[in-house]
Amino acid sequence: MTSQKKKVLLAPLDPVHDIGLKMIKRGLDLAGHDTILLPPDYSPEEIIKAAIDNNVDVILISRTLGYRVAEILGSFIDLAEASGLRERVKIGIGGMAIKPELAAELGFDAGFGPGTTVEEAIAFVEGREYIEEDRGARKTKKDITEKYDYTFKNKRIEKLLNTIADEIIEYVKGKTTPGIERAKIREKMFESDDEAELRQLRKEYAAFCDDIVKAYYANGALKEKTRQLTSEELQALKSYLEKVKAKMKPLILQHIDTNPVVFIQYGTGCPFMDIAHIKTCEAWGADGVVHFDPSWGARTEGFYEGFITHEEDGSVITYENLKLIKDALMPSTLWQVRAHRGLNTPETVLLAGKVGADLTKINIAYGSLGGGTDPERLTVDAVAAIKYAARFKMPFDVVTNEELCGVPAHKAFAGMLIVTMLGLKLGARPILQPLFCYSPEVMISGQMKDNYIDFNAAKIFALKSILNAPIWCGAPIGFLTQTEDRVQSSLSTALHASLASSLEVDGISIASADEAYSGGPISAAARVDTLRATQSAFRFFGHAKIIPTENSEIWASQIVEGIERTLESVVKNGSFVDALYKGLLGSREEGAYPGRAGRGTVKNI
Amino acid sequence: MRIIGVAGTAKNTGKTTTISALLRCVSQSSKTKVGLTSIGYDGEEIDNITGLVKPRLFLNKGNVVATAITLINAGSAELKIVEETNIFTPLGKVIIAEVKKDGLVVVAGPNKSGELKRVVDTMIEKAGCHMVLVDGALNRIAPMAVTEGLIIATGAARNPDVAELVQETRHICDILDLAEAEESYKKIASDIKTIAVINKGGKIDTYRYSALIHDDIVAELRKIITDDARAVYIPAAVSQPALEKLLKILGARLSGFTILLHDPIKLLVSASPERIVRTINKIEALKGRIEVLKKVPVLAVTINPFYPRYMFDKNIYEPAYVDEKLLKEEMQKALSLPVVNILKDGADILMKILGF
Amino acid sequence: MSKALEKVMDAVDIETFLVCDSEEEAKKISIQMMNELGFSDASIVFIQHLGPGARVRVRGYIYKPGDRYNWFYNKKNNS
Repeated sequence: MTSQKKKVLLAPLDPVHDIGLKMIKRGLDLAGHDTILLPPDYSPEEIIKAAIDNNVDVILISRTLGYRVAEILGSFIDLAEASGLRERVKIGIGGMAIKPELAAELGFDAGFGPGTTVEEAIAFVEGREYIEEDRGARKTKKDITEKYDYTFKNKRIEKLLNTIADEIIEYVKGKTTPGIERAKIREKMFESDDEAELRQLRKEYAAFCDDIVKAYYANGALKEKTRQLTSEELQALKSYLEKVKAKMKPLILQHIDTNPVVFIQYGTGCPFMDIAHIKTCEAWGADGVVHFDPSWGARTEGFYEGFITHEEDGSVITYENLKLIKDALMPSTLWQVRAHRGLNTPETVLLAGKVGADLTKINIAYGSLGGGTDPERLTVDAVAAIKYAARFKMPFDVVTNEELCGVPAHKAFAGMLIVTMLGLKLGARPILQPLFCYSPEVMISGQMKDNYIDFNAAKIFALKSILNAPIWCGAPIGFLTQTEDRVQSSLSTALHASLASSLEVDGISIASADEAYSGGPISAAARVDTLRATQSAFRFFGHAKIIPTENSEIWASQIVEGIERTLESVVKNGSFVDALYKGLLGSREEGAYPGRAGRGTVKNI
Repeated sequence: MRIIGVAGTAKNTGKTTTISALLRCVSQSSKTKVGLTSIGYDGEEIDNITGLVKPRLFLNKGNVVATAITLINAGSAELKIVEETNIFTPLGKVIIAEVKKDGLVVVAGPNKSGELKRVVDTMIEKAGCHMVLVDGALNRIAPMAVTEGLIIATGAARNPDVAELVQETRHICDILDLAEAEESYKKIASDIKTIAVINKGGKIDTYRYSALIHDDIVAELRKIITDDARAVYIPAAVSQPALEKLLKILGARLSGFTILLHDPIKLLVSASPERIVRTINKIEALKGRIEVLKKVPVLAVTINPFYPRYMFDKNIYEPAYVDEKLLKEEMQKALSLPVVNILKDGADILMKILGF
Repeated sequence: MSKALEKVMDAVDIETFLVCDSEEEAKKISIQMMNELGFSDASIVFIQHLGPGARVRVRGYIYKPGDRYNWFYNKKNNS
C-alpha cells in the first residue's frame, strides 16, 4: 500500500445493503484499509455516532435515490457538520442517481454514480486525486500476424502450394497491365514536386485510364453523383475532429487476452459520415476499420484525385480521401484499405501504404471468380500489389467471399491458400480470412441444419491443421443469419463473435444491426448495438468455450481433403490462371463466374 | 456586515431570485465589489424543453466568484482565476475568480463551515470583496454558521398552508434568535472542544463526545452531572430527542441550569423547528435556560407565493400561488423582521438592511 | 427541423408494438405514425406480425450520407 492506512465507515442509508458498497469494502480491504460496514437502516444519528466512536477518517454512504431523499441526505450532511465531523472526516455518497453535481448540491465531498470504479472510491479514501485511466492511451495497435511463423503442418498441401505459387510468379514475369503502369506513374508522382513534371505524369497516367477518369485529368470533370468537397467543408471537418478527439475515451471490447480484435466496415460514400461513424465505432470499442470503396471504382481503370464525396455506397479512393480518414483515426485503430477485387489493385495498395494503412486485402480467386475482374488481369495485378504490401510491411487478408456466390469452402480455401503462399514467397504477411457465416453452400448441403457452430468451427479447425497463420473471420461474421430486427441481429453477431473467440481466431469483422436492412444507409445507432452486444458476449464467455459436436472434426477433415483435391487439380492443370477460367477453384455451376473487367489488358513487355 | 447567507427552506422558495436581486442592486453601485459563492451547486437548472443546462446567476465585470474549477467555462461570464485553493468539491478544486466580462455563472463552492470561512476570508482579504453572498443549498444550513447575517427564503413551495408556513418560519427565527450566553460562560466555553459540565465554583468536567445526538451519549453524560452542575456546554450538534432525554435526567435540577450551545444552527439541524421550539419552551417552563455563544442573526425573510401544485388526475405539476397579501400580512404579523416579496417589492429593503 | 433532431447523427428509429390485424395494416400504421411525428423520409426496417399485432422498427432518416449535417457544421449546436 502506497498511502497511509485509513479507517473507513461504510453505511447504507437505505433499508437494504447496496452491492456497490460491498464491492468498495472489498476493494478497500484488499488495499489494506480498515473498514466497518454498518447494517442497513441505521439513523443518521447512529451513523454519525459510529463514526465518532470508531474515530474513522472517511464515511461512505450509499443511498438509492427515492422520495425526499435529497432532503434526507442534505440533513445527514448538516448533522455531520454540526457534529463537528466534517473538519476531519471525508464523506462520500454513492448510488444509482448520484452525479457530481448532485453530490455538490448535497454537500458531500465526492459523489459516486453508476459506472464508478472501486479504484475511484479507493483514490477518494486515500486522498489521491483520481486520475481516470486514459483508455485511449491504454489501447495499443495490435499486429495480428505477430505470433505466427507460417510453418505448414500439412506438408502435402505445402508442396502443392509451392508448385502453384512458383508457376504464378513465373507466369507474370514480363507481363504488365494498365493497373501496374498507373501504380508506377503514381509512385513517380509521389516523388516529384516539380509542377511541369507532375503535369506530364498526370497526362501519362490519364492515358491508362477509362474515359470517365480521363475526363477528370483533362478538365476536372467528375462522374455523376460525385463532387469535390469544399474548403468550408474541410474546415468544418477539422473543427469537428478536434472536438471529438478531445473527448474520446474508448471502451475496450475484449474481456480476456484471447478475444479477437474487432473490425467494422465503413463506406457511406461521404468521407464525413464515414469519419463520424468511425469515431462512433472507436468510442464503442472497435479495434479496426475497413474501407469499402464503391463497386464502380473496382471496375474503372484509374483513380481521381482530391477530396471527393459520393452519393452512393462505397467511399471513393483517392490519396486525399484516404488521408482524411487516416488523420481522423485514433493511433491505436487498425485500418484496412481493400484492394482485393478490382482494376486498381496495385495502386490501391500503393496509396494505402503511402498514407499509412495497417492492412490491405488481396485475393485473386475471389476477385476474379466473384469480384468481376478478369482472372489473368487480376493475377498479374495481384503479384504487383502483394509486392507493394511487402514493401510497406502491410499484412493483407485473403478473403474467401466467393463462398457467398456458392463456391464450397474447400475450393475457396484452396484459392485462399494459393494467394497466401504467393504472399509468403513475395515476402508479405498474409492473413487467412474464411467466411464465418451461413453460406449458400451449407444452405444447400445442410451442414448448418442443426447449428451454426459445427461448420464454422470445422473451417477454422481445417485451416489450423494446415498451417500456423493468423485467422480473421469475415466478413461480416454471422452474415445471412441476421434479420432486420436489431436485437436478433446484434445477438447473432455476438454469438458468432463468441464462437470465433472460442476458436481462438485473431480478428473478426462485425456487421451493424442494420446488416440485413437494405432500404437505406446504416445508422450510427445500429453500429453501437452490435459493438455493445459483442462486448457483452466476450464478458459472458470469458475463458469458457463453446463445444462443437463431433461433426466439426468430420467436416474439418473433409475440407482438408477437398483442399488437397482442388490443389492437385490445379497442379495437374499446369496453369493457375487457366484453372480459374476452367472453374477448378469454383465453377459456374457453383456460382463462380470468371470476371470480364480488364480482359485482354495484360501486355507482354 | 460582510458575509451574507441566503438559505432556502425548500426548492422554489425564491433563493435564487433573492440572490439575483441582490446582485443586481449591488451592481448598480459601482463602488461595491461583491463576491458570490455557494455551499451547494447553483446557478444552473435544466431547461426542460431543450434538456440543456442553463445558468441562472448573473455577475457584472469586476465582481468575484468562488466556484469549482470545472465550472469556470460553464456560464457565459468570462472569468480570470485570482486564487486556486486546495479545497475540493465533487466538481473539482475551488478557485476564486474575477469576472472579466459580464455574464452568467455556475457556482459550486466550499460546502463545509471551515472551508467556507477560509474561502470567504480570501475573497474579502485578497480579492477585495466588500461583501460576500453565500448561496444555500436545498435545506442545508449548517455551513451558514460562519455567515454574519442570514436571509431566509421561504414560501408556498415549502408548505402551501399559509398558517403552517408562517408558524414554521417563526419557529426557525425563534431558534436562530436564542439568547446569547453571558460573558463568563462565553469565556469558559471558548476553549472547550467537547461536551463539558460546568460546576459550581468553576470546576469543569469534560466528556469524550462533542455532539449530543444519541441516547447512549446522554446516558453516559448522566454520570458526570452531579448536584454541583450549573451548566452543560455542547459545542457540536444537539438532537432534539437527545435534548429531551437530557431534560429527563436533569429533572428538577433544570431550574437555574443553563444548556449552552455553540450556535443555534447546531440545534436547528436536528429535527423539525416545531419540535425544537416545543423542547425550548419546556426548558423555559421548567426555569432552565438554553443559550448560545454565537448568534446567527436573521436579517430578513423573503417570501414567495408560488408553488408547483401536483395534479393527481393529470399526474403533472402546474404552477399555483397562495394569496400573496395574506401570506405577507400573516408573516409580518408573526415576525419582528422585514418580510419581503422580492418579485413584488424588489430588493431595496434588503439593500438598506445590508447598509447600502 | 427542430433543434434536437439536428443532433441526430443520421436516423431516428421508432420501435414499438402496434395492435393491428395484418402486416399490411402494420406497414400502413407505421408510415402514418412516422408522418404524424413529422418524419417525411420514413422507411420500415423491421416488421413482424403475429397474433395480436406487429413488432415494428421504423426509421426516419434525418441525414443521409452527402447531406449537409447540422451537427457537423454548426459549432454552437456541437458544443
